[in-house]
Amino acid sequence: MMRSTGYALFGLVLWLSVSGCHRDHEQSMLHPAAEASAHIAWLWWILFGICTAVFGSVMALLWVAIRRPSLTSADGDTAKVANVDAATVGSGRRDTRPLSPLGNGFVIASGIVFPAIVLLGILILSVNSQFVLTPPETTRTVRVVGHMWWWEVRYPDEQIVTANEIYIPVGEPVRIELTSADVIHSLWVPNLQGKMDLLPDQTNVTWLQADRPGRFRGICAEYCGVQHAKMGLLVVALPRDEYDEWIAQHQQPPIAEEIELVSRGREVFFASTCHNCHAIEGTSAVGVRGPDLTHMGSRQTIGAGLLPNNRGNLIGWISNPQALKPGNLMPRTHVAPDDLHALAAYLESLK
Amino acid sequence: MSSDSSSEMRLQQTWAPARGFPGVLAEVNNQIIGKRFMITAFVFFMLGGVLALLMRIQLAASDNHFLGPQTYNELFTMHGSTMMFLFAVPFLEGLALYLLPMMIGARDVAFPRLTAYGYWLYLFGGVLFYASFLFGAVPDIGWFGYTPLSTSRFTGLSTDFWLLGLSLVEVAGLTAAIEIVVTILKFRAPGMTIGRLPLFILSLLVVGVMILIAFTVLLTATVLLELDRATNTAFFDVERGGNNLLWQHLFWFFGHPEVYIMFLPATGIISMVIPVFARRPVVGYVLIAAAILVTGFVSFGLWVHHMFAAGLPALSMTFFTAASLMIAIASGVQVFAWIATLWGSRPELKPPFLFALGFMFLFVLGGLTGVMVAVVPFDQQVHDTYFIVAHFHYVLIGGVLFPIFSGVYYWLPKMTGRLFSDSLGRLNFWLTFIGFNLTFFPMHIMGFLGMPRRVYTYPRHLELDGYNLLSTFGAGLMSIGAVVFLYDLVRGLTRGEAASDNPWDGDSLEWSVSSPPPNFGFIRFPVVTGRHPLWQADVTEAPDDSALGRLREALAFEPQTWRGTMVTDATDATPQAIQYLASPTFVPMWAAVGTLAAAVGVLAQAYILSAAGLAVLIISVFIWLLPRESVMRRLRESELPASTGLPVLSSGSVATGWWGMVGFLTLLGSSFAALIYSYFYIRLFSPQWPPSGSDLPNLPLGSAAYACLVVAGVIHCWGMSRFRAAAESSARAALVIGSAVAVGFLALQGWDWSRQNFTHQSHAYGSLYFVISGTLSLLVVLGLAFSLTCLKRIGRTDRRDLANVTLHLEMTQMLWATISVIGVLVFLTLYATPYLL
Amino acid sequence: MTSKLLSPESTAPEFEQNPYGDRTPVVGSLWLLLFGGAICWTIHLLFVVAVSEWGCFSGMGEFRFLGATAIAWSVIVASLIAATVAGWVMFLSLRSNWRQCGSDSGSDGEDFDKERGSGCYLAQVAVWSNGLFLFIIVAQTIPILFYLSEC
Repeated sequence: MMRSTGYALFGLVLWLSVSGCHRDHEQSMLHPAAEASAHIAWLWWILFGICTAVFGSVMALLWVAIRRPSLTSADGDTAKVANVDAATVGSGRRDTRPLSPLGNGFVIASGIVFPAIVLLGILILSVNSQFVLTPPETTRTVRVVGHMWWWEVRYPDEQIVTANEIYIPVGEPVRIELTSADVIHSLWVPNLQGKMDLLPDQTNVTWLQADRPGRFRGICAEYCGVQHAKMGLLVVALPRDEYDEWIAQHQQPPIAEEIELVSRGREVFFASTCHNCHAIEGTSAVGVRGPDLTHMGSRQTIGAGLLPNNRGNLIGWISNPQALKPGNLMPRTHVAPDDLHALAAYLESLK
Repeated sequence: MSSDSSSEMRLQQTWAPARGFPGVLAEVNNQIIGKRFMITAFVFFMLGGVLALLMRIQLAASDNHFLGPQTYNELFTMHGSTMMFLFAVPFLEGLALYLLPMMIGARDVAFPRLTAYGYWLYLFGGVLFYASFLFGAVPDIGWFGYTPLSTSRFTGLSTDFWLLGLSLVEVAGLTAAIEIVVTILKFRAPGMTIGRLPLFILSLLVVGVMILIAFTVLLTATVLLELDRATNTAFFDVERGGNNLLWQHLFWFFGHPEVYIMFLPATGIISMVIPVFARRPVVGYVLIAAAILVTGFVSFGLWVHHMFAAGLPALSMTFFTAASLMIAIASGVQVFAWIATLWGSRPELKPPFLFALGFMFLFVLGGLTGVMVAVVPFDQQVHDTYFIVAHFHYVLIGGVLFPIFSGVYYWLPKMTGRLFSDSLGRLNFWLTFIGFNLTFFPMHIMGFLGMPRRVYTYPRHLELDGYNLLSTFGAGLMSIGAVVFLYDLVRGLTRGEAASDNPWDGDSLEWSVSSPPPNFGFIRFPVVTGRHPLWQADVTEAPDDSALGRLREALAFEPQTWRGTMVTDATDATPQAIQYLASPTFVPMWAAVGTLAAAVGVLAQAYILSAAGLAVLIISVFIWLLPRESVMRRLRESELPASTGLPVLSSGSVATGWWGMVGFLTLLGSSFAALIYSYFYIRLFSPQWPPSGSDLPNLPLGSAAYACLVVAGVIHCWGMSRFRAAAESSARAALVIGSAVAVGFLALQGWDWSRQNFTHQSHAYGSLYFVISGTLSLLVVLGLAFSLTCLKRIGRTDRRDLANVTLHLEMTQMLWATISVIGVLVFLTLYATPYLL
Repeated sequence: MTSKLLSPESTAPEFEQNPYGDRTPVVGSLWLLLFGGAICWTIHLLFVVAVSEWGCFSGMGEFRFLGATAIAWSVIVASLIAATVAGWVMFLSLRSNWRQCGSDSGSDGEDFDKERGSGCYLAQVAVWSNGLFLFIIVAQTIPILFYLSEC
């Protein structure tokens, strides 16, 4: 069992490294920022405690079983030898092997009665938690549509369409309606909530609520094709007043600064193929295959949580999206370097 | 003595393996085919392991560029599919086919040609799978193949490789299951009553039945998906009323039992190894038996716990939480029974036992994380993360691979006649055990820190690099373990000491034959008097003055000129008959080649090839199943019935063929249950049924058609009773009339098809209607084939073949009875449901 | 080798008779008993899952009686029936255990592993597996107490 002790130590070290506090843990279920995820984290530590105790006891029993001095039931009672069929006993056939000192009583007590009690407890715990985590009543709704490999985010009441970012007000539950435009995806924001699938068949409902302001990373958790790994999103929880401001700003058409570079960028945008797939509200760009770019300038990331949104990354992404996210559906755009710069400036200006 | 040795030589000649090049293709003996299964499975295991290593290298560091996303997705798909379908189940089937007859005192398995057919299908299926690499169309949909990603809208040829390769392997699994179940029920040595089965055999019996049900459901699901892809039906097309969750339900209804299909035989191995190393009988035999039975059943009631994040109603998930938790009791019983058996026994830490201990450690850990993920809210966090990857590798490597290693080290001396190195075995154990924990323990934590499954890379800022590097290092250690094992294997085979017949002082019958055993296993059948036969003083002997003792001597070296073994009662194992077993033949291989051609034809959309393949398959099956005159003559002339009182031709529940038919009918039932389930599932989520524009089914026409089926079934049953009453001409008349009525069904059904204003492509309703009634019609054609071949034999064969003709007619009648019952259910589903629901 | 095992009269053997041992009587019904609990559990699970899936989908959850939904009531009634039948099967198994294995066989103790023929074995396995199934049916009923009034 020395190895087992070493094993436990090893586990402890790993655990300490998980719980170390030098990290931001923006995608960790053990660092909850919401009631729901905190409840689940609590549930985990309870389960961890129960299961560690059970595992320890079983291994201790196994250790004792193989290490303790030789024992058979014959030590106490010579009559206890393995039995043969009553019909053949008469013919003198008898097994001379001694039996184990432990019999069925031990197996029944430790293998049926004890687990039954523990498992009933876990069952009640589980159903209770599931009940506690029933979606709360709320008036705020966000609709998320999964695409290969990005998230379309709609605020139906506020008439806002955005992508790969969900803004929510701190402390208020937001109903999230999930559906998919192609294959099955799954929305997972570990710090806030367990995951829920996005199916093309039906609308699933979950909710998000953050108890403190912050950025929480989410990721697609159902294998959905070649770029499943890079289908991230960001949940941004803002204090109520900032949230209202964000909503108000996004309800307005984008206000592009009217400098020369930007207007040249707009010309490039509409002269090239961009508008076939992307939409910008208030313009003739109404494509739906790619993310809506109406307020592109105010987004925090590009490429579905892939890169910070700045001009350099934007230029890199537009000039060769296949290098950064191989297999994604955005083709390489052939734009002259100067035009590229202008295009990026235009997109950046859409705030 | 000299007569003994010449008898033995003749026996050896009869059982000699086929030699030479084409000869090896004709082999049907269970030991040889069993070894082929194991070796092939081991090769696939190595391939799957290499794929895993490549994946671990890619994941060793964040934002790594060793493999691209496409390649990575292909590798994890192939890795999962290989380990599940091409390694674990086939290896255990191979081990079972090899050991089964020896452990229960028989000479071969019940249907030797079916063994060979199963092996060829498995090999062809596996090769077809890997042939996708040659065509640059490697499956990339995951081992679970979720729709709609696996539909033709999103994937091409690669998914066809996956589906068709898989289908062949599934059919191979089904053949092995029928083989295993019937052999255990009918070939046990006298005295090995149902209460004295070695626990490995008991677990195989339960697993065989589980395979018959679970694999059939998967086979049905894969056929539906392939129909969607190849013929544009709409089962999984949302636009046309199909449903994607249907695939998940069908897949996991197979997928969860699959885990126990691998795990139960593994526990069976442990239950064989532990008493031997504890040198005492297993504690709680009855409790273990009950636990195996309960596990077998309950494993079919857990499938939804793979779908806790799919948006099902909260209440219906709770029932599956309960079932998923409670199955742990059944596993707990086994663990504590083993601990009780070992209590104070001072076992020697030899490789088989070390792996058994390692199994207990890893399996208990994996089982406990399994209990955790039954808790819905917790599962919704860790579902599809590396926590789950860790969990199921603990259960599958810890719970299946470790027992397999334990069993391999335990039985290798028997299989090869050589002893293997204890120290190399220990080295392999420690490398594998430590490597395993280093690889998979950190994955629990990666899951918590937000690493989802099936990602080819992860960003640096998640700070997962350390864990992943550790994990990759562990994987390296494990592969060194595998190399050590291979070296040990080669060293033992070439330079190992000769093994005695019973090197571990084992208790079960396989240790009573020589190492390596002759192809026929036993010269004289053993007589069993307890659960641990070899530990009982004179166990394989029966008192010479008893009827059993005289039978034993009469059957020593017999039958000599043809392969045969003794058939006993399913419960009490009292002798009932002697069974003829086929000699080497090419027929199974041709049947498998035909099956492969049919599959490849679909793959290449060269349907002419499919048709040719089907033709070869059908002809082979006819040659296979119809009795050959040369064989019948030999059986008629046999003196064994006179000398032993046991018939060489039998019918009813005495005959293995009868039980094989029961297995086949179970499989049919399971398949139609899956189809009817699909119907109601799609119905549940459809707003209008039938969809607008399609007429309600024609009730009078449907009633007439399906009444024909019931009448045909009744007439066939009546014919059976006339035949039993020796009224052969009325039996013949019954077959003729019954068949005619069944043809009437086909005509009416065909007329109903032609009347419909929709096709199988119009909507899911149309797909269901045509595919379910079409499958039933195919079944009716099969029934007709049985009736007509029967008709040819009744009253026209030698009276001494009567039992065989009876069996043929019994099978026909059973098939028709089943068709009638299925027909009524299909009628209620297709014709009555649209009016009622 | 050629010696006749049976009496000289039976050179034309009667296959219906088996000279090599008796079949355990009442074994057929014991096999049925062995699967009794499992069948109860299967039907119960299928029913409660179908009711909760279909009920939640079709609005059956809106219909209430004494504070609980129609879904909850049907699950409770089904569970009571299933548990009663499983309990009855359990009782039958215990009774056949007692009959087949002799009165001295408690359900625990060392002589529990003693072999007393197929009938006794099947009865013993039936007792334990039916007991487990009864327990599982009861456990599967517990969740409904949390979901009396919603889906």
